[in-house]
Amino acid sequence: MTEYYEPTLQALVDVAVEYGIPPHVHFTQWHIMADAQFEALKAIGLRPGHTLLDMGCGMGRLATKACQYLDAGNYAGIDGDPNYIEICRRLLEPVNKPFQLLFNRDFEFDRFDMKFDYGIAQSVFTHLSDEQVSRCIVNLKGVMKTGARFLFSYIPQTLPIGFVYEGSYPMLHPTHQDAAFFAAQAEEHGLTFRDLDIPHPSQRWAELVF
Amino acid sequence: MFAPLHKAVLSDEELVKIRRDLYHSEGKGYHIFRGFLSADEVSHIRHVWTSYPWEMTHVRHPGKANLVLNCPDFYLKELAGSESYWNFHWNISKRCTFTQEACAAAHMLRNTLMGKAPFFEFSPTNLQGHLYATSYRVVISTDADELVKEHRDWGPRENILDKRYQLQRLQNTLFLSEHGTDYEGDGFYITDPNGSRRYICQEEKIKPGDLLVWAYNRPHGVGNVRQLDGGIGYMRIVMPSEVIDRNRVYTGGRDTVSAF
Repeated sequence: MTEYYEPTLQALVDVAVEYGIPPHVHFTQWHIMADAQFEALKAIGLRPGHTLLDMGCGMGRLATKACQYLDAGNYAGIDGDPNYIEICRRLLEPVNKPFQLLFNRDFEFDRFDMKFDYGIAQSVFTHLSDEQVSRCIVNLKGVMKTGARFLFSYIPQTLPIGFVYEGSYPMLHPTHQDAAFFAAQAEEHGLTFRDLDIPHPSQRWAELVF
Repeated sequence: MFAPLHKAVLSDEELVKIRRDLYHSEGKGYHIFRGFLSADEVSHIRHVWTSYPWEMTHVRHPGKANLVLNCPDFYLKELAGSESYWNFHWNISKRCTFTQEACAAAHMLRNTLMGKAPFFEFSPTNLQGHLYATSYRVVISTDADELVKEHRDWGPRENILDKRYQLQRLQNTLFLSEHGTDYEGDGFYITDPNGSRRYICQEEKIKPGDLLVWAYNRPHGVGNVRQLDGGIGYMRIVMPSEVIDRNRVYTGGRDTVSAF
């Protein structure tokens, strides 16, 4: 089995607090969530020669593994928090491979100037409004290759949950999207939606095929 | 005298700096808010919690298994030389509403530093299937050997997905006495990563009214204390999150309302 560089828990904490971010439960679950994303992508066919769009890359939970796995320059991460992007950049320094990172809240994926074979959005749609999800998919159509697979996680629910998540993170929007919502989005935009039978620690994996 | 709620507000620059003190590997693992309470405020709190019988305002502690929503405030005689008042924010304090407001402000400050909403855990909050609510515990120790054995809180669990492993958890200790004036002995300590104990009150010359916010994961304890002549002993307010029984609610003999 390939051994990948992974930042230690204290290294995560140290980098995060330099940007004023206190440790969150995500830190202690960092590796298990990184593995869940990485293994799910490989399960649907991601290989080193493919290009990957990591939407909502955060502090680099998937990025540290994906950059090492993929061929040079095949990883692009985008996030709506500028501090997360800078932390991700710091954590990727030991990987020593070219990559792209972008702070952006408008789903401007075309700024990467590349097309993607795979994409992932781990717990991102859970933070977006219905309108934002729709706009995101429109923009994805401009950068995902024909046949590209976009993996995403969601929590099936039909009631919007509040802005403050567990008394901690402010979410951008309350979410209430279920499988029917995503199926309707797929139909509207000429894509295929599929629920996937791949394990996830706390949500459900699904994909959009372009 | 007025409620110090304004003391719960921090600037962005202060937040970054204090979080670094608390969480970074090069940080001390604690931060002191000097003079969180004024001398008059300290004097008032010391008076009301030591000058009147506990039975006037509190009920004898029924055991941790009986901490339920809406329960009254409890009194516990832990050892011959140490006693504590366990108070919950769902009660309007019969003993001292100023103490309650000061502790509410300290709790909101702590929540902000942890990245939590200001109201987090004022009322029972679900975490990993358990209910937790913050309390404010007035503790007065006059003569005791090892008061609290060294331990860690909110540390790693067997299941890595157990959300009770929380690195961001902080504890508040609001000091109401002074080492060398009110008491002698070891008192409160935090153990460094290199294994050495730091006796904070002595090293940092803590004054009554200082608020210590510290990383709850770090090993800590309370050693021996002895009250000095003319002093009040080792008096402080700590603010632990208590586990609340989710199956029972205290009604105090009031009529219940069946489910809506």
